[in-house]
Amino acid sequence: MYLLLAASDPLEHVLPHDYWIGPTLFHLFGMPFTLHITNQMIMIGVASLLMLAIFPSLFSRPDSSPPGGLKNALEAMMEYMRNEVFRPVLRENTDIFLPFLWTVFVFILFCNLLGCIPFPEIFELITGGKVQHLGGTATGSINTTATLAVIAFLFIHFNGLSMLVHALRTGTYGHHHPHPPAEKTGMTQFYEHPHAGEHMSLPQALVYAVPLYFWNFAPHPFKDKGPIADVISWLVLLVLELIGALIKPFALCMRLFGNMVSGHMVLAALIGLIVVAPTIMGQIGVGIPVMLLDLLIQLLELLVAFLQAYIFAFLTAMFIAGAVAPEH
Amino acid sequence: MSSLLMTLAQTIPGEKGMAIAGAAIGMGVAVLGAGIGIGRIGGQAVEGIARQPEAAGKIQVNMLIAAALVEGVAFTAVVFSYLLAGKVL
Repeated sequence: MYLLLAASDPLEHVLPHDYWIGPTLFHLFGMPFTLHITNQMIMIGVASLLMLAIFPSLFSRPDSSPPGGLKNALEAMMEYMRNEVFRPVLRENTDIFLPFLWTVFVFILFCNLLGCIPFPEIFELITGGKVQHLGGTATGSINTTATLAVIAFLFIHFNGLSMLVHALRTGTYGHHHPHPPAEKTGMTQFYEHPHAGEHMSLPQALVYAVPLYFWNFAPHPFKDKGPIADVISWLVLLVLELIGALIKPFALCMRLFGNMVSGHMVLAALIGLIVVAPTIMGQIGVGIPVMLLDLLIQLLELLVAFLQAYIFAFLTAMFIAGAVAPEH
Repeated sequence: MSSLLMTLAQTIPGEKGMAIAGAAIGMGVAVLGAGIGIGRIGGQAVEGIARQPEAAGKIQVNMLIAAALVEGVAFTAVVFSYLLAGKVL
């Protein structure tokens, strides 16, 4: 019976366990890079297969009858995300970035929820202790969340650059917000965008895109006080903005990882309290409050599962909006 | 209180005990900050709802977003403390 109380060590629940260990490919900084498949990687596969099984079969045909069951739930969540979360942030670019944002949201949601279902314990009970650790929280591994953060970072800046190239090529660059006329301020050369309204060819747009992206990356607070003040203030703010651009996906990664891991560790630590009670009556006496508390904590974990998926998608949408249409 | 801390720290012999105690204190301080922050957010949110009950939905959504952001910082600190303690052990 103590097989099930592997939760007496709260770490064993949340650490990855290898299912297949492959060859050591190379050594990086003295640490061997070994191919292996952990139970959390298997859960990524399970979540992806679940998404591939559910979504095309439910949503491929345009169907105007009222949806029921799973279709209704998924549609309600995704419509809420689109109308109340993504559209106020992204405004006219919503439909371009919806597939990515919806995929990220649903993937993180499915991974978190699959981690809340105690698959390892179920399989251990059924097979009598032979199959161990078949299941876990995929987003409870920092590798997964770091990968999601890296993907989000690359997506954000690639799309910022690509929208800038598109605006430069079609001549719509510099026409986001109306500027006050130059006669009012007296400074004509630094008030309009340097290349506003030009139709560039693709190579020219690619060459101009990267410096212009950095030029618009940080705000220009002293734009109308001359070129030197403009560039110096821009440089100072650029350093801060670059640090921020690295820290924001890092915080996304740590937030998701910490929330997923801490829920399971608290649950496992509380169950461990039952194990260390000396007598049977003591264990029952400790067990009943612990089980009630664990029930409430598990409900909180369900809320956290939904909330963390929402927060990740919402913050990614905000960063995309900041990169694609920076406020002037 | 410091003698109690030293006693607990010396359960693991050598300087490793002190290092682990340092990591544990760091975790505690980080969670303290998160508790204060989220408590303030919750309090101001409830006050806002008390002033305008019809804005309760919007206030609740923004409260949850701000609480998750503050908690993210606390989790970063906890994960780093845990990694540092693991480096020692």
